[in-house]
Amino acid sequence: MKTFLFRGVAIFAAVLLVAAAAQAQRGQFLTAEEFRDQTFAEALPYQALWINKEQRAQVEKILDHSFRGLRIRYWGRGEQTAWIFEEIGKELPITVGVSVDGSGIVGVSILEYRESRGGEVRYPFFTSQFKGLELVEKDQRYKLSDYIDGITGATLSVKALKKVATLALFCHSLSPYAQVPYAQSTEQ
Amino acid sequence: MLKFPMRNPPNNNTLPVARARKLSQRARLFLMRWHRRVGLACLLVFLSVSITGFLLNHTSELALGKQKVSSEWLLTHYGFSLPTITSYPVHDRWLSDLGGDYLYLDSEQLAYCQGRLVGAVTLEQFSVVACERELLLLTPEGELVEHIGAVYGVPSPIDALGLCGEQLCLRASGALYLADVQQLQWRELAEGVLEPSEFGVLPGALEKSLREHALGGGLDMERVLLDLHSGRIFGVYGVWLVDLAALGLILLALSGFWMWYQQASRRRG
Repeated sequence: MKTFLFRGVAIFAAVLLVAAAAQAQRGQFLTAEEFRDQTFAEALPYQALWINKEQRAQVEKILDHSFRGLRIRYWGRGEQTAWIFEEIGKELPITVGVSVDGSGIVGVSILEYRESRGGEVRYPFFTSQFKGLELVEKDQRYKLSDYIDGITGATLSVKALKKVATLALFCHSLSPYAQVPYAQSTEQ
Repeated sequence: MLKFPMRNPPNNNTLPVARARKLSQRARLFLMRWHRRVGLACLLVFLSVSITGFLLNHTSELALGKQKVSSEWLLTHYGFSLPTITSYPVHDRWLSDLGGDYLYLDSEQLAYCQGRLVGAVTLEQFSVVACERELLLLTPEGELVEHIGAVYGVPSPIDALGLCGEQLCLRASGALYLADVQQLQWRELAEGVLEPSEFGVLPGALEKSLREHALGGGLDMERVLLDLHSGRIFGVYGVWLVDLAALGLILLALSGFWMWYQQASRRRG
């Protein structure tokens, strides 16, 4: 009887622990304004990047799915821009902020994570890998200039973040804040 | 065992023959009575099974698989939930929410929108569409300009979208906000009157097409006829009823044959 009770309590505790761990992954960590202030330290107004058919096709290539919309919001000053995108990891969207300047990605922040697993992508050990990455064109596809190490159990979230980072670089290159209008082509 | 009557029975056997004839006649009357009763009792089922069977035999010629059922009673009976369509006029077109995740512009799927459609306002440059948890901007041609979701600070859940005087206004959780969809600013109003956008009544043909679309092509005539044929349309009792009618038909066939045989034997002598 004692063993049975002990097992029951152990299973209940394990379930509670798993549920708590899943809950710990989710959450809103930054608002859009906080991300903007973190990037520019001042309340800049929103800008809009209008995209044409050809550019939309590129956006869809980067995201690997259709993109509906004619304009994308961002903030910009000097050579720097900041973008917020939502991209689905496994089932739910991850809200990601990416700031970019002339030398590449300045920072990646997770504003909101909604999935129950894979939330490790918000930690600096992972997001710092994006720093300084640039946009390169290879085989008519835009990509990041370097590899990003994955995280076991967060493969889809990692993939989503890589897409968003590439998209931010691409959009930055289209904005009036970019020094170089389009990415450098690096045929390898 | 019953013996069939002979035309010229020998005189010494008159009594048993008369007896046999009487018995046979009684049996025939009994059978006839029950033949009639079973026939009448199963009449409706026989008619239903025969007509549906006849139609099912010509499924491809009659294109029964392509004929969609629009009867609300039947669709509800089959467990389809009928869509509640909410529509707003937008730039001479109709924007509709069929109760799913997507909005439709006339009969074309337009865009994903989070929550129920609560309003649409046509401005000079854009139309602003409000679902409970985000706003959409559309060009006059009906192209999606952008989604404005909670990440841009849109107050939610949105209850209504409309005008406060001449300015775009929304109501969320009971509070009123002036909405600037260009600068993405939402200023709470201490007081003000919201004139909410009014939903409209869809033209009949468009409503029919959207309703059919929402049901996903759902139920075809072939399915209904098959279920009517097997009795499944009335559940397990329907199947039993058709089973009983089938037994009745077997009885009718046997009794009919027996009566015919008896009569034929009598004629032959």
